[in-house]
Amino acid sequence: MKVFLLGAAFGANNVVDVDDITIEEANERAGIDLRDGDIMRSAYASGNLRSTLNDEYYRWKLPIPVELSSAMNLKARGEYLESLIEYELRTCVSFKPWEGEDDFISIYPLGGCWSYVGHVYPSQQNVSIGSGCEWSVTIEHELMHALGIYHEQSRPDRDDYIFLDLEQVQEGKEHNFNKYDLEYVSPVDTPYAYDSIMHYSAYSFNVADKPTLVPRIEYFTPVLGQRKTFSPLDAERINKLYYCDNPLRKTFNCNFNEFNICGFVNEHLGEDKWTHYDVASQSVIGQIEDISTEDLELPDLDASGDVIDSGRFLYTDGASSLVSRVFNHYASEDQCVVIWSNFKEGNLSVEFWSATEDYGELDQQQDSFKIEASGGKWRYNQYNFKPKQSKFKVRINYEGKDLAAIDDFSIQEAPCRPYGFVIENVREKFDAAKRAVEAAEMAANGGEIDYLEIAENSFWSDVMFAPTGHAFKIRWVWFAKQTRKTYSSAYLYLSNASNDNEELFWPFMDQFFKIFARDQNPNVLERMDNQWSYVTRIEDGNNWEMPTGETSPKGYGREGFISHFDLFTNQHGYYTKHDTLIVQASIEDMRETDRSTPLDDCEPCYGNGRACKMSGGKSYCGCRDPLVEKENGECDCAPGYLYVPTNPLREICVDVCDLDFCAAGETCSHVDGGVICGEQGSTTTASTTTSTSSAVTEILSAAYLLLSLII
Amino acid sequence: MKVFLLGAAFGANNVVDIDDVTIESANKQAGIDLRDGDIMRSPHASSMRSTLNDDYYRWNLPIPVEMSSQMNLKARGEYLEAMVEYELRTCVSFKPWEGEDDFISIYPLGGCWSYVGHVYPSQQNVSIGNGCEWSVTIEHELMHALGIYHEQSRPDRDDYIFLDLEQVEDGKEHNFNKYDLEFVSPVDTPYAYDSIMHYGAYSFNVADKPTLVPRIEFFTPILGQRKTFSPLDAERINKLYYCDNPLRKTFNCNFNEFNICGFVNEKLGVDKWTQYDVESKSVIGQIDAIMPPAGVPLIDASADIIDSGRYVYTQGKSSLVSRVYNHYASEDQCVVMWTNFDQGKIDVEFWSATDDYGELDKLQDSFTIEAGDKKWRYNQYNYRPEQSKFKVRITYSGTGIAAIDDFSIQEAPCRPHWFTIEDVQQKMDAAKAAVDAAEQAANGEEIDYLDIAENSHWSDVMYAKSGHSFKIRWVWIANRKIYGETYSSAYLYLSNDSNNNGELFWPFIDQFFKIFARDQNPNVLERMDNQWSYVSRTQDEPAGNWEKPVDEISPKGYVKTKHDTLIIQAQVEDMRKTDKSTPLDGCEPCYGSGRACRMNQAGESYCGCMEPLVLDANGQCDCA
Ligand SMILES: [Zn+2]
Ligand SMILES: [Zn+2]
Repeated sequence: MKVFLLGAAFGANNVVDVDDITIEEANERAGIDLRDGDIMRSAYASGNLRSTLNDEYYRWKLPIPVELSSAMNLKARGEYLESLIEYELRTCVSFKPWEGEDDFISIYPLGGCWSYVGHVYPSQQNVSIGSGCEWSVTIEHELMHALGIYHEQSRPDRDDYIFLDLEQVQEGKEHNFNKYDLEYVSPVDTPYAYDSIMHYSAYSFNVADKPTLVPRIEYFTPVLGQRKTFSPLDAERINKLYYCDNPLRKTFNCNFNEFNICGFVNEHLGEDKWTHYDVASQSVIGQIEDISTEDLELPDLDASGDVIDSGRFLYTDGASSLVSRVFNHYASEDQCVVIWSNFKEGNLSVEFWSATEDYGELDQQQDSFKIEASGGKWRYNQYNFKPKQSKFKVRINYEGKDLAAIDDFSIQEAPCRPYGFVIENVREKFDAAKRAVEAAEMAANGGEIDYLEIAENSFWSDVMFAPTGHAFKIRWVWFAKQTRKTYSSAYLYLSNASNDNEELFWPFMDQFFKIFARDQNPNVLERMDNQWSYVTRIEDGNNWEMPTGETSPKGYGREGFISHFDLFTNQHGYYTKHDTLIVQASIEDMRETDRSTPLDDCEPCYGNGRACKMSGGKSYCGCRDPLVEKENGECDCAPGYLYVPTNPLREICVDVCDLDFCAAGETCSHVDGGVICGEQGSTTTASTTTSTSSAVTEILSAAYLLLSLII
Repeated sequence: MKVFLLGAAFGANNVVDIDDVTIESANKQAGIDLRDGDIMRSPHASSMRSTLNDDYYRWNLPIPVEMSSQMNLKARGEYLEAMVEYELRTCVSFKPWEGEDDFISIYPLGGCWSYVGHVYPSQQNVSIGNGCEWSVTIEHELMHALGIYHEQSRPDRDDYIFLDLEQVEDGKEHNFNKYDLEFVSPVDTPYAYDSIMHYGAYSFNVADKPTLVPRIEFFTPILGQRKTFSPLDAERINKLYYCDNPLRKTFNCNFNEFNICGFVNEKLGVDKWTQYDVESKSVIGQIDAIMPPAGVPLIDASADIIDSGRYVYTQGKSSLVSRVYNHYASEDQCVVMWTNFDQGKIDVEFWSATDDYGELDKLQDSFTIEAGDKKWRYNQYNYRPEQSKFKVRITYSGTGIAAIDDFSIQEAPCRPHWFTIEDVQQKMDAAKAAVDAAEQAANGEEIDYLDIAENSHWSDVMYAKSGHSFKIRWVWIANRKIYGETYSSAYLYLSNDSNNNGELFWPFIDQFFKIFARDQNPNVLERMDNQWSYVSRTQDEPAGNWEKPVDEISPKGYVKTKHDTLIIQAQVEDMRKTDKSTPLDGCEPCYGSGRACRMNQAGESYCGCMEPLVLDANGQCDCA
């Protein structure tokens, strides 16, 4: 029996749940069953995996050239960009389009999600981002493999941290839980990272509904296999492996906890000035004389709220301005500026100025944004600043007669997410939803009900407008359906608010949209936003046509968008700080995406030793370094070099002169078609050789075999 | 009139005050007046070049350093302290000169000074003269040599401090020059009020007013701090030298993260080490809510120091096991742990491991912490591992509640002697009341605060490695105020407890001793211990002071306390047998244009020509 409740705004099926897909699931669908889940091994290297820690040989030179195949779909492209931002902001590893560099990574949808570990292939090395792999965290994961990092649970000491319950593992899948020696796996002297994106989840490869991996610290059970973004230890590991001395160069982050308030100074000193306040001791700091704040109604916590830190902020009692040092930002045209504010009266503005010189004074004001009073609550504010030059100063100016407080100021060299809304009083709304859901369940008396029909269970955003002018709304659902009721859902609907705009195109196709629940941790290295994305498609039916009702027929989103554990308990993520949830979104019009790539000119390029190469700006299917093309069109070692299949790929051709080919006392020299041995000091010329290259190679192969036998 | 109070333990003159000497006053005494205080310029280079923009002026690491045989014992002792600080906080390391092309030589050339950056080929001098023998001064001069200017020379310094030129001595204005970024580079770090490269607020002043006034008032007494590197000093050095892992010689766990720094319970079950969050008063690291047992500590060991307040506790017998540490830089590993339990004992064991990420193998060493009262207590142990890789096991044996916090291992020796003063605020208040009462009784006459019993706290007897016994006297309120700032004093006295040891040598001279007030910040990069040192000498007053007891010595200092507990540490080093010989000896005398101490392939040093110059026919150094 279906129960329809009074006040239910929508029917039961007006959403489409597009779930996040783990690497395990994507590979299962693609029929990929590799020894370690998604780790591909080179066919050449005879199972000889080499360490990354001990061997810089397997690390890439930065920046790493990466090329996306034209077969990559729009969602993969959108998510790839998201993962590049994460790499940029948290690590020193950077990627660039391939412009003919000797070595590069190519990403194809080759079936499933997989990568080699480390830089093993000369010339071209493949990563597969197949169907179901188009998630930024999956792409971050596969690229981490390519950088040289294994799965966390492959660490030799993993049994100290997790129990592997082999009885719960599917038959024939045990190989996914191999441990490896440090010769192969290197944690780079970092502790076991339960929250790594390189860790399997607790329920990976299980038979029934019991976990296969049980962490010795219980708290980590729902954290294992997290699919948000790099954990702090992931970033630390990448940065250690690539000798990064300054991973935060693209972020300025001030929580106003240090006495030097991150280099900010009061423009004018005097009665009214920005003053440093410590929440724990409830006192003014940064002064020698005691200053009483008894008469002031100061916030009783700082903007970091329950996030672990000391609780300090700046306040002013009356008009006053604060000036920053000169920031030197150059990595992005967009600088996302975030500041938390708390004031009831007056105006707060954040101004951007050019500076007279590198460490100079304010010169010309170039841009600014205003923040409205917030009724004595901490409020999140963001602004996408596009500086006219790489160096700028910030001036924070309060105009008013009352108290104003600021905290957690940051600038990130990346665009702000353009859309967002805030849900306040989360706990109260959540509890109301819970009561309504429980009442409905009671009324249904065991019958099936649809949680979406319960009015209190949904929160709708205001109308927002995409860059193309199309209107949309986001629906937040506190309790997903019965089977997943420990999750909250998020869905995007088109709204009819833009239907009178005649310039809009319909249907709303090839639009990449992404929804985030923002982790409100002020420290960017610890921030892990929850996220989900989708690209609208023709196959979605008429859903993306001009809405005839108030919204499009169905909302597209994820039922299990975020778990209640993440929302309220997980302290690797502060999604409901100050009892406030920040939902952000981005929409990218991808109709005109240029998918062309130099890889196109190489197609088809299969076969032994083949790789896409470039010469004079033109790409072609050539031979992988150090192989060369022979007359018969095969790729082989150059004359005078011996093919040694047991060697690492990049050293697969060995100079026969290094193999004692010539007798003692003879010189060994390369000539066209091979090498020749000569008397010490004699000047034999190339013309003295008569053997063809293949003949020489054969002889040499025999010599090598002989050598091997002797050894 | 001098007033002697009832119960006064000592007479007025039983201390000798050896004050810390700033670079400014050492150079004043030495008659050195350089353009920027202690920055020497090469007569050759006509232009100063930037360090940020120019790797050319940076040293290759490790930097060979050689000390002249004229360097006194105190300078040698403090140089080693400076080395430990560089080792623990930065990637910059120093080594004895073994003939490398370029090296730094340290001489007492009059005053304290250095060139900025690596400017001289072959041999570059640093002067650590009379009054410069303090670790912070040596750290400062070596920072110049690394390529770092004075903080108040930054082009943007006026944004952070007011320079009051009216208060500056006539003719000393040049000490407050600002320089362009072409010369001075803050390496993209904020203005460091607490840098050891910053002058004091009262530098080069005429009267008793400050010359430098920070725009954040709090920093007035901090400007010119002489403890050790501030966090920004270390950050700047590490950025300048591209250090990707400055903390490689320190393991530091405040038990704030959920992964508790890689520690794991040896056995799970009812009794296990459990993570507790002070702020929320709840057990964390569990999925199911667990009520913490009554009697868990209400604060963590970090106390009011900025951090989240978390620790681990166990109720009943339980062991915590660490990962394998790979420590190799020092024979001595200083292990520190805070404990809080009043029943049973805690054993900290050091084990070899089966392999790099392996299991406990063999027990090699351990120390035991006995129960105290329910207070956070500091414990340290100097562990000397038999191999670079080891694991730690922490076991509580007892039936009560035991809590631990702020566990750290530093690759440096522990300071061998230490004592704690508890209930600091109460003792300080009692001292203040007694001092005030004495002042009142004296009715305006001069009194000696040392005569007031409540004003002193005496340590138990401690024994130096040589067997000599000594005590440290802590004085809450010093007689002296400096620019209105009040201080506490610390003094070392020989005690007569070892007088019956017939094997001791007397007098107790050439002994390097150092007294520290420990900064209890659990984060080593932020820790700045207050310190003072001395080398006992034959000429010390009163004559016979270092003969069989009794007598004394003194520094100044102000101190930060935590948990209302003060931790005083000390080390005493016997330097009588110090080998002062150096390859520099083989070069003396080596003055003159283009001359430098060089070493030939046989390892013999000689006075040669500075690179790229060569010796010409008439014995001059010139281009080839
Ligand atoms: Zn993987
Ligand atoms: Zn200096």
